[in-house]
Amino acid sequence: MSTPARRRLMRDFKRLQDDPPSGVSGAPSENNIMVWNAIIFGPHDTPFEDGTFKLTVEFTEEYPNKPPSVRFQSKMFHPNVYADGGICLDILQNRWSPTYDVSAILTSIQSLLSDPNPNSPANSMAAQLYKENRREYEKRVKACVEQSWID
Amino acid sequence: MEDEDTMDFSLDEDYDEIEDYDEGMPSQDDNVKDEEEGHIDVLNTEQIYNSMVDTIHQANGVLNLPQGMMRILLHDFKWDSEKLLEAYFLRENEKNNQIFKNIEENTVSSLGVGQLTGKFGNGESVADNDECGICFLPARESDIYDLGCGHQFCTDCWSSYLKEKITGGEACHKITCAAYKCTKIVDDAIIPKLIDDTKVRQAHQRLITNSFVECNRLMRWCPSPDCTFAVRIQWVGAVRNGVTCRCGFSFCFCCGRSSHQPLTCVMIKKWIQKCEDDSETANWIEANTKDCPKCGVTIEKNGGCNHMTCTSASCGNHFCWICLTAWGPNGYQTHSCSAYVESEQNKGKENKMTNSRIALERYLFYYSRYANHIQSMKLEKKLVDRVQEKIDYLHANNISGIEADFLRKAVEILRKCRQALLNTYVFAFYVNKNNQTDIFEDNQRDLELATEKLSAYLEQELDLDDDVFEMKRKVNDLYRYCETRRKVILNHVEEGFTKSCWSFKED
Repeated sequence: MSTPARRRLMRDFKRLQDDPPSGVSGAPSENNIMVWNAIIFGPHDTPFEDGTFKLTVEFTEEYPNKPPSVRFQSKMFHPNVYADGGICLDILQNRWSPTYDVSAILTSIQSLLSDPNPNSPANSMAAQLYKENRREYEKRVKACVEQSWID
Repeated sequence: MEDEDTMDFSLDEDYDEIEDYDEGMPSQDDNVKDEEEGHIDVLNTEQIYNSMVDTIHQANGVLNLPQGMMRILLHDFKWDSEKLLEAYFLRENEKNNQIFKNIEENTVSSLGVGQLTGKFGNGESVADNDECGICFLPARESDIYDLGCGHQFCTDCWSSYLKEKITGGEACHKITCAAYKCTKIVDDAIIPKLIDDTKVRQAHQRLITNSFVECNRLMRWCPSPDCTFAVRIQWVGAVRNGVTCRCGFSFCFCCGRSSHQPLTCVMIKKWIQKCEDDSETANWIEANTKDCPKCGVTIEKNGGCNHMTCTSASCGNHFCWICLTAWGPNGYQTHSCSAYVESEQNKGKENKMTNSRIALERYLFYYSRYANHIQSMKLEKKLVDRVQEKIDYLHANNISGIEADFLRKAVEILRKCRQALLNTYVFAFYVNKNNQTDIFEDNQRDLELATEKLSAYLEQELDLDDDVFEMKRKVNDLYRYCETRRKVILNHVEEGFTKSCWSFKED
């Protein structure tokens, strides 16, 4: 069944393949175009470097007028990522614009890894360490990076 | 002063009307007149919309801006056109200038059709091949629009974007371009061009009328559930007391709560908060605690044993939970609370009550009366139906509708008296005693007696009187007396406020 949301997701997939952004990849799951699996590679020169973080992106029929819900499947230690993998990012909530596509979403999340916003913490422990004890923060992140290779 | 004058005036008017009844003259107005009559308008949805358009036209008589831009400007100035005009002509003021510049730059009242301008979104150049920025599909030039900012979307995408903005959760009266962080505002005039669905168009109209009413200092939605009227006052502060909507609901224009004369908005707010906080707590304390018979501190029993030890620092009293007598050194042997003895202790008990329990009892005294009148008011709602039956019956017996209307009026006055009465208990709870409060209490008693008499007659004796004219005479006498007593107590409190006779307890 073709709906505006599904047609748009096909375009998103095509654009992702034609013009792949660096450091992220994603594709619809095998039997449901409304659920995508994606991978974000940890950006260079950050503690997340070399990590391969898995995410699921779930769309509704209101897409692209409503943002999808994006969740890390890999274990994460980041000031703006909740314990359940949910992400606190303005463009996925109130600053959402229907001009975004999957590629833009994944790129934005990737840059969130390099630039956390410790002032609106989803994980207060990570935010505190990020601000006060950067070495311990990096140690905890490294553990997540290694974990990400296994699962 | 002015308020007092108008109050006196409308009071006279009321009496005139009552005299009309006396002479058996049919009254033109079948509504019960209220103090605020003449100062308020009740508007339906269409009238609200027209009133909004009028306000925009009026301001535009001077400024001549596009209508949608004007609406947003007026919204920012809380629909006070004078303030807006003043600000407009004093644009050298940095802050004002910023507001106007911002709106003028961002409000676009006509769509740029197929204007191939600039770049888009994340810097990709898509303008060359006419691609919609939302569905990413190529579109014909005639089918793609922007707001002059270069963010081009096809008609379908515009329409579903606007629909989502209008009917989605975060209903907002100001819709911006769909592109990230673009501040261009979609003018009201564009909306009908892009949306065919009449339901969505209506929703948009509701959205902007809502912003008109909510932000307008002269207007307020009637808070009664399912009522779609709004009440408009003539000038700020025109109405200090309650207003009555066409649906019959009386509420305070200032705070939106149901009418709370003679209390101020602050007092009723404090009281309601107190009731929410305290009533449950008070009930719990009443049910689960007792006062230590020696020091009077409030004690909760935390185990099955009835031998209580007061843990209050200076006390340490041992006593029996059941009969509150001192626990002897030998326990149960010297203690017999199973036998019924007329106790002497109860007499002295009051002296030992702590202040907190006295305060609590005082609160419960007033609260129970307040709650009781609320309960009565609920029960008396049934009277409306009963009275209607009676009126129908009278109709059937060749009494005209206008003639029979005294019954409806009596029920309405009964409701108002109850409303005033329950609020007087809140007033009495907060006010400090002085000579004026003695008069107040007398007035309160009079009103209460009069109200109960009217209620009793309407509930029980209505069917006993066969003679309609006798019944009418009785009901008229009763409700007129009630209404007089209500006015007396309200005026007395009001007068006390203007003469600063009242002082209130800190709570």
